[in-house]
Amino acid sequence: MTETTTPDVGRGASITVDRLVKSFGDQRAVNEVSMDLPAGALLVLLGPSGCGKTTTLRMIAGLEDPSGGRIRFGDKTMADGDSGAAVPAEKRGIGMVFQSYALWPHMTVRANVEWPLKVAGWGTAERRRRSAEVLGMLGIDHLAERYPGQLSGGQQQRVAIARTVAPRPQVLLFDEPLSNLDARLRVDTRAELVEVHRRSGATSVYVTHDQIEALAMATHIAVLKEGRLEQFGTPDELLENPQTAFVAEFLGSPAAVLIEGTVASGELMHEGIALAAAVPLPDGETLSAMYRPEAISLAEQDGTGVDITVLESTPSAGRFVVTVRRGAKRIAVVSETRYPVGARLRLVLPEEPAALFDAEGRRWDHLA
Amino acid sequence: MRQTILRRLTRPVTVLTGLVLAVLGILVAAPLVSLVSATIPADGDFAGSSWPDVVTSPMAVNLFWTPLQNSLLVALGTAVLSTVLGAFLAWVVVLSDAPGRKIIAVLATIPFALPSFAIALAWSSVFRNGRVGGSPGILAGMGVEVPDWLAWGALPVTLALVAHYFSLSFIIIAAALAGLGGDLLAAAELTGASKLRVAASIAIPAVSPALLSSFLLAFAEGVSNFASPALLGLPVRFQTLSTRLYGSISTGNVERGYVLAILLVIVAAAVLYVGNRVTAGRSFAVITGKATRPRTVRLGAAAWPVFTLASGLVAATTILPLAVLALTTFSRRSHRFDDGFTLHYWVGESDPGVSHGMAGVFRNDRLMDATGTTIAYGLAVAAGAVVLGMLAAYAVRRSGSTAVIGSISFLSYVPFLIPGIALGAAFIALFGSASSPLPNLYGTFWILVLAGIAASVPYAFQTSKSALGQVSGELEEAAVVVGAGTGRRITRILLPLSARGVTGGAMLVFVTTVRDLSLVVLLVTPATPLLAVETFRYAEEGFTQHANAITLIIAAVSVTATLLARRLQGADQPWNR
Ligand SMILES: Nc1ncnc2c1ncn2[C@@H]1O[C@H](COP(=O)(O)OP(=O)(O)O)[C@@H](O)[C@H]1O
Ligand SMILES: [Mg+2]
Repeated sequence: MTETTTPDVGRGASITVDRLVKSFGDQRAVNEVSMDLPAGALLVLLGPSGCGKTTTLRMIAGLEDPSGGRIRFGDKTMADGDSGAAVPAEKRGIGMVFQSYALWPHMTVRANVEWPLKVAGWGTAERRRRSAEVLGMLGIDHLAERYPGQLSGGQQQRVAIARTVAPRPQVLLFDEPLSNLDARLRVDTRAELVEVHRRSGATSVYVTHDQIEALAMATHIAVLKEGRLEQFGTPDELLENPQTAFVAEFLGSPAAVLIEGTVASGELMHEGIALAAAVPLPDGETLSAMYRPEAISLAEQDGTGVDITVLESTPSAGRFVVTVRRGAKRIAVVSETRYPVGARLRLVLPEEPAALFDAEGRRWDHLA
Repeated sequence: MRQTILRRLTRPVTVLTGLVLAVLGILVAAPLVSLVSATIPADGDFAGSSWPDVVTSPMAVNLFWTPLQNSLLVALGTAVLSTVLGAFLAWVVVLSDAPGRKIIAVLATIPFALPSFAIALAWSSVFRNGRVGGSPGILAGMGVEVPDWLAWGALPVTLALVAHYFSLSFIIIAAALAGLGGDLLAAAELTGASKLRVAASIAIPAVSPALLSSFLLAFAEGVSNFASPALLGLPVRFQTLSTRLYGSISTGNVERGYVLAILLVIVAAAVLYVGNRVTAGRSFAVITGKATRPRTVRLGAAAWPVFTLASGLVAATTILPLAVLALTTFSRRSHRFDDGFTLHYWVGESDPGVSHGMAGVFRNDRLMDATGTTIAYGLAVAAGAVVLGMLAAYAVRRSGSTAVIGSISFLSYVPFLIPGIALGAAFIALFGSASSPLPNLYGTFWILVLAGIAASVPYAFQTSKSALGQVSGELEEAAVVVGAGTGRRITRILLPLSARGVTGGAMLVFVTTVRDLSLVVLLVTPATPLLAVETFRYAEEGFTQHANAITLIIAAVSVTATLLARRLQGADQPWNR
């Protein structure tokens, strides 16, 4: 943990993904995904299960060849799906933490960390020093002589991370590394992973389906849905300025509230309430209005607002996250007071929505 | 106090446990005890017993030491070659991108489903030379001089065993490789290590428990197999422990046979026991998370040579021997095809000019009789072994006593350590001798069935245990809560839920039973003919076509039932997913 041992900072490579495609049979697991990641960034690939995160990661690693598009590290092309050319995985300067950890069961913890260094041609003394250093950094130096089968899940996880960072890769890849840990350990390890990323100076790509994890760790987030990139940007950009209804509803705790309305004489109406004025669209078109949960308030009395029923109130940082039911939809808002389950209330919406989305879920702009 | 003990004794589980222990005692412990006690002289004076004859007398070299040496030689060859070939095929099927992997995978599991004498008979049909008289093999028939070392003795005995047991090695190693998970190897490849280095430093050490256990299993089988040395060694007096044991008992030197049986058990059991101990703590269970399918190794230019080698190997041990057997049964003379083809050996009426007037196998009353007995024998053993296995597994599941669990598990495991022919000898000692307290069953159908059940108990018990293990304890407890008794829980909850696994297990017991020769070769009499033994007798007497035809029938039944049983057990092989 000494400060003299951080020579790796700044070794990361920028990563460019250009219209990347991967087909399995006639199913497109990854469909025209493009993004530009600066050196040293921590990108989180986020999306529901089956959306193509692992496949994207494995293409970046070189464990899977793209069916189309390109991957570049810095100005070097790693894979070109159109020509079929690809730099083999082991020549890309990457390190990968697998979801199953993939520790070699017949080797001790130390041997697991040192073997890749040995393959890379490091001398014995150097290997020993580096393994002691990374094991120390992760707080598992006392486990060096154990076998993976004798470790708990959290310890195995640390060994997997130590093994991956030891050779000082330019690019670090993580596939849902925390999904096998319990909730408490997940939060602790999350912070440590960010620290490992920072100290290594590598550019990191991290796969998860947990948006809280993404918001806590990422410098950049790419939200995927059914193989397509919904939005790529910094966490703030995605929260402030979601480009699709899916992103708006997927990110944030609680997430933004979307209410669907119908255009009538230039106004967006929802059950007699005007959601937005000056909407230059023909009558009958539908749009969704997005509101921030903290901008919405709940009112007990009659008045204008949308009818809802309270499902639960969860205390959170001195306030309450109140989940309510509106028809078949669940909505979470932030409130100063706790409401009893089953209470019938009204949602009081601000004058103007924070954003509008069209029927396909794309951002819709007045001026555009 | 007395009442509670009484109540305890009559609790269904206690009764069941007692019953299971009694049956296992009679089927497993008692034969072994009789075998040993039959060799201990009443006056305690070993000098006059068979022990010095076998171990120290001048004839001991011939009787025991040379056969022991031959057995070990054959076993070592079998173990090394089976493991190497099995590992190679497993690598091709699981890790490489060689063409035709699916077919190779299916073919590689078939030799183990064939009766072990099928390959030996096919070998003999091709390579037999004139040394012991009788009609020669196909090569000799074509005028090729076949040297003795290729026709008889250590080499053909070993190769015939390898052709059978590499298939078992393949199954064990392929499952281990597939279980490693692709990430494990991908993680090693990412370091930049060469394919060879990944194989040598990661893949092979990580599956070393499987390699070792396949080596020891093949070794133990090599020591104890009877059919292969009997068909390819015995005619030229190449003796192994099992052929010596057979020879002693069938020529009336029963006590010497028992001594040899004990020594054979000691050798085989020691190997298997050591193997179990060594591998027990070293199974590298795949750790956590979902394992991904391994990325295949790109063979590139090596793909076709690898394919040729692998497919040649599986073809040479499945299609080729079966084709040879089939061809001989259709040709008038087993070693040459220019005398024309005939269906005589299958459906022909008795003709004094052919095979001493023996009718074709489908017209032969004795064979039809043997077929009936064999099927009845297989069914009775399958039913008996599975019922016993289920009851034993259930007793182990419900009993709280570690002593009971330990005894049942131990007794159910012991027959696995005992070569078939030695178990047969032990059954003669228990059920076939005047001095035994149990009724004399020698020559009856029942001694076959009891021995068959004893031999199948280890497999039946393991299968039942894992089938029951898939039914969670809570399902049964839910039935306890609503007041269902033990019998009802077994028949209405456990059996229906584990039926597939158990049925598959019963079918595998059936095939291993009907195709096995070594267990029954000492126990059958003309009153209880079995197909496997008939084949052996025909082969001994030179009726090649008849022996081969029956072997084909057994092989067809074996392979079909094995494939069906695997499907029933859902053992959709892990490397095919
Ligand atoms: N080797 C493969 N063969 C066929 N389909 C695959 C393969 N790998 C992934 N897929 C499919 O591609 C889609 C994306 O998978 P994946 O990238 O693993 O999703 P995620 O990691 O986001 O859960 C899924 O529909 C999955 O079934
Ligand atoms: Mg995934």
